Amino acid sequence: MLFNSLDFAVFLPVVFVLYWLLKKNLKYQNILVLLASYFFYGWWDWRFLSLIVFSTIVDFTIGLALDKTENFRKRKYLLWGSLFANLGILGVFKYFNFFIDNVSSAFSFFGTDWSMSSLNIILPVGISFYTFQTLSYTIDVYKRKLEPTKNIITFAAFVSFFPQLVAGPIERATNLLPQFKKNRHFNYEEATDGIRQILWGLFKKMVIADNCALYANYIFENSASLSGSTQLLGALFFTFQIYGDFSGYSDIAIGTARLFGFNLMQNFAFPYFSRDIAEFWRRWHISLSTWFRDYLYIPLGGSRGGTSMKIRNTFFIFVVSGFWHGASWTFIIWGALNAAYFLPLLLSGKNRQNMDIVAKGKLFPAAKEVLKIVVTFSLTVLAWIFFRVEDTPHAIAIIGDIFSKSIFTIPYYPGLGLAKSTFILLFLFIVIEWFGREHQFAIQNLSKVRSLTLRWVSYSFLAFLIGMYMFTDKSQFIYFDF
Amino acid sequence: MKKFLKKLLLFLVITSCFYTLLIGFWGYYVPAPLRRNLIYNPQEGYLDKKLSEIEKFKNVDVVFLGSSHAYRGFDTRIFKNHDISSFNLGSSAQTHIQTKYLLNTYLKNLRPKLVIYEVYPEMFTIDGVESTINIVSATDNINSGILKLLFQTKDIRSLNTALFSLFEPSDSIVINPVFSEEDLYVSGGFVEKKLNYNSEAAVRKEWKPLKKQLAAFKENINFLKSHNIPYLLVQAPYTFEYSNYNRIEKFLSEDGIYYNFNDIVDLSANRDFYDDSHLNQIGVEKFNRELIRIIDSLELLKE
Repeated sequence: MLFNSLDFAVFLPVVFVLYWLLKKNLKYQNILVLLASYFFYGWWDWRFLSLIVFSTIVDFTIGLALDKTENFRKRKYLLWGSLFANLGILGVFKYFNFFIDNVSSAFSFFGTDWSMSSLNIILPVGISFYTFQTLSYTIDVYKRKLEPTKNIITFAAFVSFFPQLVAGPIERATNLLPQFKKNRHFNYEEATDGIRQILWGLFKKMVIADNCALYANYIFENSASLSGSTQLLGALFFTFQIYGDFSGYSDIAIGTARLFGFNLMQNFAFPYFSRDIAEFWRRWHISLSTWFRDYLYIPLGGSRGGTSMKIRNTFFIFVVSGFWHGASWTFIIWGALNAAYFLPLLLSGKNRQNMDIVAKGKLFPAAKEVLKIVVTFSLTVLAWIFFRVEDTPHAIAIIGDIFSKSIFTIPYYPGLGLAKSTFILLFLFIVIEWFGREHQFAIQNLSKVRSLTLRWVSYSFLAFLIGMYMFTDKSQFIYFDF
Repeated sequence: MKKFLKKLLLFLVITSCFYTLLIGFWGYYVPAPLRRNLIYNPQEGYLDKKLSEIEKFKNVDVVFLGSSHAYRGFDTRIFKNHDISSFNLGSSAQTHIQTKYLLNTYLKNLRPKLVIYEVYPEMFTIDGVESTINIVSATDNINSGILKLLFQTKDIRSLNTALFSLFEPSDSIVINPVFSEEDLYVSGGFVEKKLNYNSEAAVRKEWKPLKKQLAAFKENINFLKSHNIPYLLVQAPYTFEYSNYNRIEKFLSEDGIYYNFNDIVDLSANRDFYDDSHLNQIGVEKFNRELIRIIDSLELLKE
């Protein structure tokens, strides 16, 4: 079920009302969340529910077993069992064909014929997200950071919690699981702020992302016949598409969870206002970056060792992050490119120099900050080209055109005239994001406006913009594919 | 919780009013490229003209229903020359969902002896938004039938059109038109295209019908049967082919007398069409003559 669908517009109020009718009974509330989550997921394809159920049973059982034994070796085996089961499913469904194709290519490169046909495998929606979420539970129980839960309903509800099941934020068991164990009370302020966040998320997804996608898709698909400046415009459209799409989804997810009395972690913190790449990665897909930091980077030694260890760990973490997004070399290169951007900052000890939000407490940034933002943004746009294309030669061709003379021509493609409203909306979007950058989401500060009329007019106008400018063909969220 | 629900409800009501007012403002004062999801096109397919003169047509022999293949394919003048009175209720991209609305709304006035239901396979494969917008634009008031139509199409553009029509825009207002000056409207609902010849290459398509259109089609057939109105299912000619031709034929022949004129009239893809799926006037005459011959041979209009 998509957040931007009529199905969800019916599903959410029904579940919301039933949930709070059960407010005196935590057990029934959790059962309702579980059933609603399975229904939400099964709406897409009920057959793949079995994978979630399998992951749930495996990690619940391993969690209990870890609690019962102090034997170091046995605990290690149990952890490996969880890793094997979860990553095994992910490997089969997401990476099997990539592996087969590349092994086959490697054999033919050395003149040997090794052919094994790839399989027609459907990628289950959200598999990378819930797999990482359940893994965080087992790893935390193994590290004794978390007491294992003895209630299968609570655990299953945690694994499948519908607001963040298919595209995150990837919640830590230490944050989300305890929330399922204690009584939740309806909080008016939280609920209204949740609605506000959902509204902003819908605007980002349905207006900004989907409209940018229309133009980005055209330009990327016809790049060979377009000038470098037009291709750069396409990359810019994609840059806003992916941000609007993914951060929009996160806002809707977090806002929805707040309606049910849950607090999920912030997943995006205005990343395009970052002054360097290190800051960008502290603000982009925070739940994944911190997951990799805590469960991979730090166990590998992090940045404590010598220079070579720092370089190795940084590259490893970024490449794995790229590979997490998709089974393709383009994602791996995207990860490696970001590592290359990040390393100079790490090696010079400047990776933590921009910890606060830019121009905090001020209306506008200083000229130096503007320059830093522009440089960081430009580097990000270039990297997104690898993320968007089907294969590496296409990305290289686009970058080649962008750095050619044709960058000095006026961008043009058939249909550019139709993009006028999108340019205006993008400008409005950037302005709102800028003035809301010190909050969890851009329009959160509207709650501080004293006049109720002004507040409601603002929300209504946003709703109108969604109705007038939403993309009307069916659209999916990009991150469903990861 | 109660306070939250009450306020949310109040907010939704106020937002709906505000939204409607802004739709009116946008329709009248905002430049065309910035009115993305607002379409208002009563003149598309001359539907406004057609509906404005429909009251004059009572107890006709034949009513034609269907897509542009109907209103550009069944020439009411040719039928009149054969002493057959008719009204053409075809409209642009009319799918079976809209046909249902038109049947419910206008059939009791027209009281035809025979309905010729044009069943272009493509009309089973689209959601019907284009036609809903066209009908809502050309209808003077929002009635329960229109509301049902809006609910069935579930598209923001249809809703915006309906809200804009509340402001009773004058006939001169058209937003985002798809309108050709090469057309001649003929009283009774036929639209004649200036003589042109097709130059498009024929392609092979696959028929992938939508469940909701199949269901609406069956409902329309049941409606005609329950009102004892004889009907003829007709596929008007086009130049391309369907890879799953047999499936289409099997489905359409399940529900009554059905003729596929692609297999009946010998037409030239270039000489008799003005594009890959619409007949020019030369083709229309050949097609209509053959159709009238079949109606006569089946004695469908005999008292």
